[in-house]
Amino acid sequence: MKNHSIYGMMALAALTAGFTSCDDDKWAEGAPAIDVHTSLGNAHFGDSLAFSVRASDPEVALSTLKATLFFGEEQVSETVIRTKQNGADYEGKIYIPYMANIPDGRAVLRMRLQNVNFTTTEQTFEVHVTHADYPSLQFVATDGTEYTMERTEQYCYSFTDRLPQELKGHIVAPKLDDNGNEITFGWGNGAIVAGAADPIPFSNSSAGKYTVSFNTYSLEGSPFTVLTFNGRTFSAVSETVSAIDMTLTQGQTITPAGFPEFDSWWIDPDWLTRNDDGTLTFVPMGGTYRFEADMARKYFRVYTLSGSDPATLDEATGTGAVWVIGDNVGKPSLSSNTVGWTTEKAICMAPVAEKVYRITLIGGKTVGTDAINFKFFGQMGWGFEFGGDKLTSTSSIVKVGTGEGGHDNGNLYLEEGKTLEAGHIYTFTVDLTAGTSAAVLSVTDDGEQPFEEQVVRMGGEKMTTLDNEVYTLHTTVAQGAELAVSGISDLDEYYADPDYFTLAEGSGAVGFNAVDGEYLITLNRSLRTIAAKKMNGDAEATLAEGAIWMMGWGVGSPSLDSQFGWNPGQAYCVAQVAPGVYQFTGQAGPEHGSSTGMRLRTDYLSFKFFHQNGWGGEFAGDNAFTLTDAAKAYVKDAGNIELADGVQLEEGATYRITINLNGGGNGTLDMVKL
Amino acid sequence: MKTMNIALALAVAAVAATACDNDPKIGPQPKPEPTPEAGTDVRVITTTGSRSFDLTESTIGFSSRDNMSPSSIYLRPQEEYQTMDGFGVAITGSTCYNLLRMNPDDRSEFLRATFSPDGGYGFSYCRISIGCSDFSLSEYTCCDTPGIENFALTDEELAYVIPVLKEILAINPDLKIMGTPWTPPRWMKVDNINDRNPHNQWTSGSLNPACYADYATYFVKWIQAFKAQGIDIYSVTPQNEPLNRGNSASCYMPWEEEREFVKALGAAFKAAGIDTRIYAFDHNYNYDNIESQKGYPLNIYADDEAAGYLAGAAYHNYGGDKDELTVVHNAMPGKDLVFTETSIGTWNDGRNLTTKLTDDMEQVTLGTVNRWCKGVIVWNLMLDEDRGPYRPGGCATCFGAVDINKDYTTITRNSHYYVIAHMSSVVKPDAVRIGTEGFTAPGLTYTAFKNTDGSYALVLSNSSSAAMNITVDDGNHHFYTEVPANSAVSYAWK
Repeated sequence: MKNHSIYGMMALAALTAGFTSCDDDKWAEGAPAIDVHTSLGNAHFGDSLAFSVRASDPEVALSTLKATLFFGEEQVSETVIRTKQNGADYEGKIYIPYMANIPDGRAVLRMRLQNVNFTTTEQTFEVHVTHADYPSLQFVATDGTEYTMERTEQYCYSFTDRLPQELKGHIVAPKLDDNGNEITFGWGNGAIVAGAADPIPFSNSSAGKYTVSFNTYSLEGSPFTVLTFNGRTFSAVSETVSAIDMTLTQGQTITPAGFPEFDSWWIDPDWLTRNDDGTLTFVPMGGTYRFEADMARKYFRVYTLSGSDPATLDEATGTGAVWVIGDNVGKPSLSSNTVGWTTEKAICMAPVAEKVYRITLIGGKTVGTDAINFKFFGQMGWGFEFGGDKLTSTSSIVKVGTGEGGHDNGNLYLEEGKTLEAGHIYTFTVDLTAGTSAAVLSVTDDGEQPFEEQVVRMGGEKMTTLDNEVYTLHTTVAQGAELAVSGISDLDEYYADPDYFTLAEGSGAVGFNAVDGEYLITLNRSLRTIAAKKMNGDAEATLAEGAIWMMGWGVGSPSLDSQFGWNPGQAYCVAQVAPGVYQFTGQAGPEHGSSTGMRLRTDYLSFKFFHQNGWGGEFAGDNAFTLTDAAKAYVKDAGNIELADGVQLEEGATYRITINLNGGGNGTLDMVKL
Repeated sequence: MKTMNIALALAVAAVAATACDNDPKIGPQPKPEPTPEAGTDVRVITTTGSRSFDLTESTIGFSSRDNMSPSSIYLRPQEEYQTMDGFGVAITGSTCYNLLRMNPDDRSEFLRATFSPDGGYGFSYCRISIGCSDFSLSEYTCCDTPGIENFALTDEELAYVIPVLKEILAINPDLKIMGTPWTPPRWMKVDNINDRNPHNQWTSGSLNPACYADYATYFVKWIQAFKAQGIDIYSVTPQNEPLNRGNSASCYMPWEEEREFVKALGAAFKAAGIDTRIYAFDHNYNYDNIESQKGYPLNIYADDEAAGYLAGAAYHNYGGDKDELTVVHNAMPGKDLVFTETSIGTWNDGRNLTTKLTDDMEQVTLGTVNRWCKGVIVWNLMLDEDRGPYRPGGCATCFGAVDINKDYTTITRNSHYYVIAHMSSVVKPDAVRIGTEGFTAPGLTYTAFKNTDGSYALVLSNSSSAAMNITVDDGNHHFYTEVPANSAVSYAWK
C-alpha cells in the first residue's frame, strides 16, 4: 500500500509539473544572444584558449554558457559558465587536448547560451589548431637530472648522453604564449601521454651512450627495448615480465634479441641451451610453449600451452603437462623465486618424450639439500595431483609421501638421513607411459655442476675467462670509442685505469682514451679493475709499435699495494694518449694502505721507462728524457726518476706524468699537479 | 506491481507533456550533439544482439570537417595482408534436404538473399562433403563397392547436393566450393597402418597405405564428376578432422599418414591436370591435445614434396585458441590458412544472438581473418527446428546458420548467418586485407579490406555494452559513425 501511495503521488506531481509547465509567464521563450569579443582563430594543442563573451537575454534569465570543442565530429572539451547576470561579459578558457596523432586542422568551437527556459542560441567558430614548434624540450629524470632535448626536425626532439640501461623520467614542453601551458608528457596506459604523472620507462639494450628521442606528434619515444625471439616481439605482461608463444620443434634454434645483459641471464637447461653465437637451442619435444622473459630475475620461465592457456594433463592419456608446486624448489634459484604453494609460480616440467616429463635441479641452488617438500600436479593450480597412490619413486633418496609417517600424500621428501649434495645436478623424471595412476619418478645424481662461464662482453665482444674472475679481451679499439660492458652489474664500483679509460657512473660503458690500436684489456672481477696494454699481434708492443713501459718503486696500479718493482715481464704499459705522447696519472699516497687510484708514493720515487716489457732499451743515460721545469719541481733524473731533493708529494693530490717523444732528442718528461 | 506503478507515473507525465506539444510557448530542448552526416557515400549494414538492427541497411555521407577525431580508425592500404577467397557455409546433405523441402519460390528467395553478390549478402565460399558427413542422409561414399572402377556419384549428390549447388551457382557463378571426405570407402580402411587388418567401419580406422593411389584417384574422379555437372571444385582437404575417431563417419589420419597421402593426392591431381587447392589438417587449434600431433601441418610442410602440393592448412575451433593460426602462419608464412568449420549448438547457447553475435565476430570471422585466414566457412547452412536431419553418432545438438521450422516456411537467422553476411556483403572475393591504425577500445574488433574494384570495406564488432563514436578515415575520405552496443557493423565505400 505504501508503494501505491508513492507512485500515486509521483503521477500527481508529474501531472502538476506538466500542466504548470504550460504557464504563459514562466515559459516565455526569450531571446538569448551572445557576442564573442575574442579572436578564436588559432591555437596550439595543449593550450587553454581564452575567450570573452557578452551574454544577454532581454526577456528571460540566463542559465549557462557552454563552450564546446569538437575535433571532427567528436566532442573533446567543454567549459560551462554559469551566466547569472544578464548583459555581462564572461571570461573563460577552454582546454585544447593534446593527444597522439591528431593532425593540425580546423577544430570547431561552439558557443551555446541557454536561458532558464531552455531556449538556446549558438555560434560556431573554426579554430585552426596546430602543434607548437618548441625550440627544445626538457627531459627530467626521476633522480632530478635534466637533459635538454634539442629539436632535430619538425616534431622530433632528442638528446644523447651516457645513460643507465633504464632511464625513467618525464618530458616537459615549455609554455610558449599567453594561451599556452607547460605540458608534461608522462606514462599512462602503456604509452606516452600528455598530462600523465608517471615516469616514462625508457630503456636501452645496455647502459652507455645512447639517444633518447620523442615525437610531439605521435607522442612516440625511444628507446624502449624490444624483446624478440626469431624476430617476433614479446608482449608485456607486467612491468618486469614479457611473454611470447612459440611453436617449436626439438632442436630448433632461437635467436634472442633485445634482452639487456643477456649474457648474464640464467638459461634453464630443461628448455634451452646457450650457443656460442648467442643463439639458443630448444631442448624438449616439439609443441607450443610460452616463454616469459623475467627481466628482474633474468631468466625465461617456459611452460607448455594448450591453445593460449597453460597446458593441463590429460588424465586419460598422460599427455599435456606436469607441474611442480611446493617448497624447497625454485627457478632460477631458491633465493630469488621459491615456488612455495603459490600455484601461479608452478614450474612446468619439460616434456622430453611422449608422456615423460623432466625437471633438472641443482642442489642448494634450485632445490633444497637438507629437505624437500614439493609435488607434481596436472595443471598450474589445484586439481589433479600425483598422490602417493599414483606415483612411486625409484630413487633411494627422494621418496613420495603417502600421508603417513609425517609425509603428506604425494609430497616428495628425502629419505631419513639422506641429503642432496650442494652443487650437484639432480634430474627428476616423471614417466606416465604406464598411465597417470601408475606414474614413476626417477631421480639421478648427474654429478657436480660443471664450470658455467659467466659471460662478460666489452664493446659487444665476449671477453675470455677461465675462472669467471679475470677476463681479457684482445681487440683493436679506436680512441674515443664507447665500450659497453655487459655481464658486470657493479661496473660503477670498478677502477678503470684513468689514462686508458673514462668510466662515467651509471653509464655501463667505458670510454677509450688511448690512441687507436691493438690492445689487451683486462677486467678483474675480484679487484674490480679494468686495465690495458698495447699489443702487436700475440706479442706485447714495444717502442717501435708505440708502447713504453714503466718499472720501479714508488709507482703502482691500481694502488701502491701493487708497486711495479723491477719485475721484467710485469712492467706497466704507459698509455699513449696522442701520437708520441704517453701519460701516467695517479694520486699520491702512502706505501702501505693506499686507496685505489693512489699510484705515486708521496715520499719515495725510483722508476724508469723502458722500450719493452723488461730489460733492454730504456729511457736513461744517453737516452734520458729532458725534464721540463714543471717536472723539476717534483722529480729529478738520477738514472732513475726520483723525487727532487726535499720534495714530497701531497697525499691525495693528483699528479700527471707526461712523456712527449715528438719534440726531437730523447723527448721530454713533464709532471704537473692537477 | 512496482514496474506497473512506475510505468503508470511515467505515462501520466508523458500525457502531461504531450498536452504542451503544440504549445508555442514551450521552450526548445537542447539540440542533440553532432550526428553522422547525411549522404549515401558509405553503405552501412548493422546488426545488434537484440535484433533491433537486423542486417539493417543505411548510408552515411563523408564528413566535410577536418578529421581530428581521437577515435579515428585509419586505413593503411599500402600495408597488405592476405587475399581473401571468401566467406560462407557448409552445404551439407541435411541442408540440401531442408532446402528442397521448401517451396521453390521461398527457396529461391532465400538463396538469392544469401548468395547473390548483387542485392544479397554474397556468400562466396561453400564446403561440401566428399561422400557422407555427419549431416548426410545416410553413411556412404562414392565407391562403396571395392574397386576404384566402381566410383559413381550417389543419389545424395545427384538428387540433393548438386541440384542445390546448381541453383546457388545460377545466383552466384563465382562461388568457391571446398570438398572434404569424412571417411574413405571402407574397403580402403585398416585398423592401423602397421597391422593393416581390414576395418570395415564408417568410423575410425586408418587409410590403408596400399590404397593411397586408389584414394587419390577417388578424389580425381569426384572432382571430375562434379566438373561434368558444371561444378568446379576450388579446394579440398584430405580428411575432415583427421584426429577424431568418433562422429558418424571418420578416419584417423595423423600428420605422418596425411603427409604420405598428400604426396599421392598431389601427384594424381598433377597427372589429371587438376589445379584444385589442397589444404592440410582441417581440425582443431589444439590438435586434440595429442602431443605428437601438435603443429600438424608444420610437420607436413617439413617434407618438401608434400609441402609442394599443399596450398596451406585448414582449422576448426572446437578445441584450442585461434592464436594457433598466427603461430602457424609465422612458422610458415608462405602457406595459406583457411577456417573451415565451427558450429553453434545447445552447448554454446547458439540461438542466443545477444551473446553469440559479437562472440562469433571475434572468434570466427574477424578473429580468424585477423590471423591470416583467407576464407571462413561455418557449418550447416540450414537445419530444421529439431537440429536435423542428423546421423546417429553425429552432432545431435548443432544448430544451423539458419533454422527452419518443420513447415519449411519460417526461417530464423542465427549468429553464424549474421557473421558471415557481415563479411561477405562488403568483402568481395580477391579483396586484400589491409592495415589499420588508430582507435582501439575494449570490445572493439575490426578489419579493413580493399576490394578489387578499389572500394574499401571495414567490418567491426562492438561487444561492449556502450555505443562507440568512431571516425573512419581512408586517407582521402572520412566519415563519422555511431556503433551501437553489442553490434556488428559493416561499411563499404569507394
